Amino acid sequence: MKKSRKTFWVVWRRFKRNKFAVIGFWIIVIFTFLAVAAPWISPYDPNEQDLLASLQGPSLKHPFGVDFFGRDILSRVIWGARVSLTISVEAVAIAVILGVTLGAISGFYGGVVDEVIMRIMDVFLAIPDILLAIAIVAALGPGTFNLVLAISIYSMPQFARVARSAVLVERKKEYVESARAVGESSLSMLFRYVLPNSISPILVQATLRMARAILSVAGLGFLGLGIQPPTPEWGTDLSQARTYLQIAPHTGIFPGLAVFLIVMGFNFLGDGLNDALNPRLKDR
Amino acid sequence: MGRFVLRRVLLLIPILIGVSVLIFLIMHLLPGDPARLIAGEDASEEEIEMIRVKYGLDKPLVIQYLIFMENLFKGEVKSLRSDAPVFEELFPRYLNTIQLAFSSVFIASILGILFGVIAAIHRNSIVDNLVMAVSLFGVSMPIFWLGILLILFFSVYLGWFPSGGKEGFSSLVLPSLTIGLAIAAFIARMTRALMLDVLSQDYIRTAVAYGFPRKTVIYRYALKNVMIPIVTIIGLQFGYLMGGAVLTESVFGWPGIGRYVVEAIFARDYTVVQVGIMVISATFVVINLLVDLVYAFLDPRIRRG
Repeated sequence: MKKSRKTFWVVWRRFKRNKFAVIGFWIIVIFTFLAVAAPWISPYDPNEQDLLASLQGPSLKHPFGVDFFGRDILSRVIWGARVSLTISVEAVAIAVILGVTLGAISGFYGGVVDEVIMRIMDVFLAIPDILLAIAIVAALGPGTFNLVLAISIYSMPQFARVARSAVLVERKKEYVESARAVGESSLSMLFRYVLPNSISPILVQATLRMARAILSVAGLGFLGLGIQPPTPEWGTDLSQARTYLQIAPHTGIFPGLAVFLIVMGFNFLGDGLNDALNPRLKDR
Repeated sequence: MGRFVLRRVLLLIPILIGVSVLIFLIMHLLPGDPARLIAGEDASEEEIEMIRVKYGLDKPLVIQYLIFMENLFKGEVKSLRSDAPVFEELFPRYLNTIQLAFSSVFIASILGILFGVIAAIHRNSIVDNLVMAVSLFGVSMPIFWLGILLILFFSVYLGWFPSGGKEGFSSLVLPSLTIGLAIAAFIARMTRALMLDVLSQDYIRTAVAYGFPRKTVIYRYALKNVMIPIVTIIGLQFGYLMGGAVLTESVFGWPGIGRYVVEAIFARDYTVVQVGIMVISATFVVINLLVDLVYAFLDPRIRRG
């Protein structure tokens, strides 16, 4: 316990030295705050329509302007954070559980099990991720749950790969040999010792996959295959703005800016974590 | 080399079969009765049953798959909407997507390599920092938003290019620039890193010590060695952009295969969705293979390994 706490502070100090990682961390903190506190901080109801104000530009009353239906864009951007983050976190969590389990089993047992699981994962990886998501949503129909499922399925093989190679490295170490000698069963060894020691590459991958998940939620929304209106979602709002770009350019700016910032936040954080957890890479 | 190529090509077959099975399963196994979807909301039970028989949906899944694949190879798979062979509608759109892909990769390669090399040569200068900052942002840029921003600037504000459609060369500029810039950001980062790596090697130091002109060292010796991995990176991006094209085509109303698939989803034209996604994925897989082969051809260490 004492040792792991010490390791944490070492990693934290290394992390803090990376300016971009810290920026990324704060971007995510801010967006998480927006998502959690949306009901209290959003100036208007995101679905409240004021048709007389339709497509009005930014003003003191509406800092980000108003969309076609007369809805306050700032409020929709704030609520959009909640929708986007909830779906992405759920999707990545499911992908981690499924992918890590499959990858760990694959790496730990090897042989035929490994061959079969990894060849199936190869097939998943042979389809561009957004298209796999589109196929799943096309079959299931749009909706929150289906979106979560689609994103988690295409993210899963990445985690399987990372977990597999991490387990392959750990499996050869002495403590696994000792545990085996003491008569620990394979499965308990895998979950009690090997996986906890493989956590850092999985954590890095999860952070980077959050960025892709958010991009997919917005991308599918933009195509009309994601969250359906009137629920405030950045991609869906952008696709509606596409129609009015000529007369109301502001409608195409802010939802996209939100996607860009949060994706950048997760990318920075992921790269920072990678450097902090694998210092050897950094000091080459 | 011949055996290496043959082995890699043969390895492609199970992957392609796997892809077709996976997409077929996704479209057929997930809940939702395709016959009911094709028939529409207010079809009677008999109508649904007729459609089930007409499209062979009453047969076991394995048979359905085999029939589908047979028709696919004969080019006889038909669109549910228009009853025309899918390939007839698909092919011109596929060419449009390929055209978009090529021009995007062209823009991306020129910008990416140029700025990557400049940044590496002038390491830690303002130019370097600027290139790195822009490329860092570029990697996180949602491609459809970049498209919207380019429309706002070049089409709405400056009025230089049309904001969508496919009429002549000018309509190709903005969609290619959208995908091209997104990929250029990545290529620039990689080029810079690879260049810095090569420039720190002994043979470069030796060349400099021998008094070769700076330009000769950079372009004749350093860049030449960097080009092999860069070609690979560009090739892999080419595959990736087959996916990105779906979004970009929707932003600009570009009549490519991605938009065709999305439209087919809304029209519940399942066969088009299925064939479209299979074709895009097959392209992705084949391009990845070609990149591997080119890489092995350029770098003999790979095929011996």
